Parts: sequence; C-alpha cells; structure tokens
Amino acid sequence: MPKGGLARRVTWAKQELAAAQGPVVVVDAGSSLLGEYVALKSEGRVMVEAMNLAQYDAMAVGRMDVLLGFDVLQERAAEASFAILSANIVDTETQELLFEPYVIVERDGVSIGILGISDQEVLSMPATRSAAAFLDPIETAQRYVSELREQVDVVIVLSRLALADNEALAAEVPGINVIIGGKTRRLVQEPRRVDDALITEMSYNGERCGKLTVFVGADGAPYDYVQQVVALTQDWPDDPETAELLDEYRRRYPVLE
Amino acid sequence: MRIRHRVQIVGALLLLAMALTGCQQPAEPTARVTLGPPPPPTIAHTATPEVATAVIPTPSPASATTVPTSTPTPQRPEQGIALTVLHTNDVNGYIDPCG
Repeated sequence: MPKGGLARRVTWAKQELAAAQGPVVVVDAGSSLLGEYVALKSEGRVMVEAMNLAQYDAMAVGRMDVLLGFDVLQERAAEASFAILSANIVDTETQELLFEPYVIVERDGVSIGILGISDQEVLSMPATRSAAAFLDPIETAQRYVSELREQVDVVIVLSRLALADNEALAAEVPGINVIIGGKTRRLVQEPRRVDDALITEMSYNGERCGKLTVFVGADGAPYDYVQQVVALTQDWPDDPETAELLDEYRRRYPVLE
Repeated sequence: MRIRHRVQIVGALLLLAMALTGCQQPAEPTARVTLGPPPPPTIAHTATPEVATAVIPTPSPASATTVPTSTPTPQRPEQGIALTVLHTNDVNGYIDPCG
C-alpha cells in the first residue's frame, strides 16, 4: 500500500500544530527537496512551498538538496519560510559558510536552537564538487553547540551523518538534546540514547513522520521521551491547499507518457 | 433483628467511608507509553503525570474547558521543558505516495 505524499504530510503537520498544547517545532533532516520528477523540474520549489504550508522551522542540507548546485538551493532558501541549515559547508575560496549554521526558535517561552550538519556526500555532485569545502562535523558541532548552549534551553541537531556517526556525535559533543538523522534512511522506532542526546530518524521518501516529545529537566538533560511513528497511509486526507498546489505543478510539468 | 442490626452497622461504615474519601475515583495508571528509561532519582519529582498529560495534545477542546484544572500552561525552563519535535527526512522530492 503506497504511503506518504506531500498533501498528507501537510495535513499531519497542520493537525499536530493545531492540537499542540506546548512548544512544537517542525524539522526535516535533509535530502528532501529534489529527486522525483516534478520536484526536480521545479528546482525544489514545489517542496519548499508545501513545507512553508506545513510551517516547517528548519531543514538540513543533504545530498539530494544540492543536485542542481548550491546556487539553486540558496534561491530556495531565500523563498522558504523555514531555515535551510549547514554549519560545515564553506565556499572553497572565501571559506565562508554557504548556508546559515543554525536558527533559534522561540516557542511558548522556550528557546530552541536548531543546528544543521551536512555529510561529505553533499560535495559528490558534479554541480557541487569544486564549489565548496567540507568541515569536520564533530569539531563544527562542538563549536556551534557550545555557542547555542549559552542562548537556548534545548539544542536539536539536524544531521546528515550515518546513524553510528550520530552516536559518536552525541558522545563527543556535550549539550545536544536531540539528533534527527537521515542518511541511513532507517526507521528508528525507539530513539537511541547516547549520554544526554536522543537520536532518531524516519525511513525515507516521506512515507513516515515522527513525533518526538522530549522532557528536559532543569539540568538540561532529557529524562523521558515519547515517540510516535506515523505512517502516511490513505487514511490521511490530503490537505486541500497543498493538493491544489500540487495540481498546479503537475500541470506545469506534465510527465511525458 | 440481629441481621437488621448488622445491616445498620455496615451501612454506617459505608457512609463513614464515603465521607472520608469523597467521590474521587482511585487513580488509574496512565495510558501513556514511555519508551525511555525511568527518570533519574535526582529529578524524579519533575516526572509527574501532569507534565505528560499537559503537553501531549488532546483532540477534544471540550475536555479542556470542562476540566479547568487540566488547562495546559507553557512549560518554563525552571520547571523542566516538554518539547515536541515533528520530524521528517530523506523525502527525495516525492510529492505523491509511493511504496
């Protein structure tokens, strides 16, 4: 039975946000904007517009987001109402970051720092190979998590590293509360805990969404959590606004038979 | 007569018990599934069921208005935080269901 679909995902996000009775953030761990035909033809615009409707707060830069080069993704970042983050991809010549490293979100009196960490595959595309350099993820995370810890109550890392590498990240970088991963495309039913960090990811192709509620004590460490895995089956209705948006893009970029 | 006397005594005891306990139902275990480890003893006092029920969304707005004491308030850092993270990854540009 097919699962996923942008219009169902927006329904899920809107429903969760409407029912929320405490602070909520909506994030994506990256490699999400490009790949499938309409998304590719629209240079990721259809995905960004739908994610705007779902009120995403941030996403990380992954391999599939830079298929058309950094310039195209920077254009999408300018159009997005959410932050597109990477703390460890820098311009080869200037050594300046190509994207924002982190964003701080305030929700219901709680400040949340969200950091983006890319993997080296971002530089494996023909369009990106010579344009940028890759900084060590752990050293980069140590620097920015330390900086964030002085400003926020909770730190979330959106990471393109493999699951085992995310465990190393959690072990070597104190101060991280949650790591949302993706590279291994695993369905992590129960978050893994390494020191004070919870690590999870939700398979691939938008088939499933995760809802992780983490309880953080006054000492800054999580003491409990609940994760719900949501399979976007046909039981989830399409969000009408998103369905209309998708129809418009399908008309604009018809699939040739 | 002896039976009637016993009934009166039992009835009096029941009335006394009701007066002492009121109409409260015995507390039932919460239905929330906790996947994580139990809270450390040093901060166990913050891991109250009220925190959990206050932050996990309840679909019926009516229940919040009929039980004012359960109306949620934002969790402040000094009391501990309950943050919900809605998350996705590796969508690969899929706009339609697949699989």
